[in-house]
Amino acid sequence: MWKLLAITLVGCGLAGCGVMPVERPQATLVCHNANCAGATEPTADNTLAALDASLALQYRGRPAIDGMEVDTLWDRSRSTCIFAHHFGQLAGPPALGMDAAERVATHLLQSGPVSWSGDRFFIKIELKAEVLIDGTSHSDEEVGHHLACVFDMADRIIAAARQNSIALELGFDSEKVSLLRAITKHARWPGKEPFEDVSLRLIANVASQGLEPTDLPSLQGDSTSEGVDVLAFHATRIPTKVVDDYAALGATLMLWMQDAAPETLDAMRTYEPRYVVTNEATLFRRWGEQ
Amino acid sequence: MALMATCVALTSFVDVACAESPERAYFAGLLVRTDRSTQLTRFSGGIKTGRVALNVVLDPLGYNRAGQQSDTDAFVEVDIVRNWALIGGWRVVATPVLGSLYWQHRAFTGISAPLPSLMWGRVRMRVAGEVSMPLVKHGDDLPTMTVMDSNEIGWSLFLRAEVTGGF
Repeated sequence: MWKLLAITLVGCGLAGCGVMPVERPQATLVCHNANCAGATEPTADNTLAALDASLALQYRGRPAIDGMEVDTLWDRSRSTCIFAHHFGQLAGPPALGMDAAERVATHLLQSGPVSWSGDRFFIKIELKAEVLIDGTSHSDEEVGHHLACVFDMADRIIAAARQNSIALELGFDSEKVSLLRAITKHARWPGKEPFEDVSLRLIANVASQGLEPTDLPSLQGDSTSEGVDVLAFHATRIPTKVVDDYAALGATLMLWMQDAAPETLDAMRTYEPRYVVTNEATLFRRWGEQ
Repeated sequence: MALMATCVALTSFVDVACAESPERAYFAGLLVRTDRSTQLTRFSGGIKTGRVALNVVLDPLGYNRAGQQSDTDAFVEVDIVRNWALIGGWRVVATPVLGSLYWQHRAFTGISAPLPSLMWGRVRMRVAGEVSMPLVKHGDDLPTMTVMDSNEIGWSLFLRAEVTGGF
């Protein structure tokens, strides 16, 4: 009896039965608010220092992240496009959106790997919808200025990627779908596949107002359609059925968070999003390995 | 003395004996749950005659929050023993998807149990567990899906606190 049990246990150990390791879903790891080199610290979000540290973050001897998120605001009081998350965050003169683009371009021009995958990089440029601290929205003229700014940023980053033969995916992101529609109607919009190894994408949120049935083909991966391509969601902020429905429709999903919670990791397994946007890049690298 | 008075007050406030409910009763209050399969708080209410209670759950938060789902339930509770009851019901879920509403019909079943009532028996408390599964989803310009197309079986725990009285 004991001999049989011992043989069974040893056999199980050799055969790998018992607790089988479960392969964890892999996603494009994007640095939330250009600030993912340490613990979540919102006051450092969208600052050049945090952006530099995040681009330089290493894990197992190579860049820890696959991509970067930079936020832009059209600042009515300064008539310029700034690199910031919201106006209440600003303690001093903010950096410009173009400053952030220049840092990313410099990163893409370096020799050696520029991301965890080596020669592929994802950049997400978010257009915030307010132009003043009280939440005032863009005028039509300001929409034009803001779009010109993000196209300048995109051009600089695309040029650097092409110069160094980096495959680039660049997403314009806004919770205000009308801003995304304005991008594709802009004279400088080059289409979603402007060059070999350069893809442009549009990113909204599952709760965004203004999504339409015509967005479904692009959400399902049809890059010839001009609709929204990716929907971001948060694991704990709203009930789950909206995300369930988009997942059932085959929409491309992006999980974002501030602090990773058990629900966040559960959402990784449940929805297997293509992108994960986090302030805790190293944590997610380790989680993906286990 | 003060301690004794406090104990008397507490035992009056929390009716640990789970007082017998009247033959016919109404109830209305809140339904709360800790998972995110619905809004965290909804309004519940209904009537009970004999061993059978008819319940509805409304979702004012869901109806009024842009970009979020709403869940409306109707369910029957049948007392089995000592106020423990079997639950069977129907949930209509409306989710805003691609500019229109996706309607999902879910069947659910479960068990509910009494907890000590509050406020000298005026507020009844019940806890329940449910298993739910989608039967069909449909919407304008959206593909119709049946239970065969989705794997969204869920289970949840919820708590009801409801003012009750006889009629």
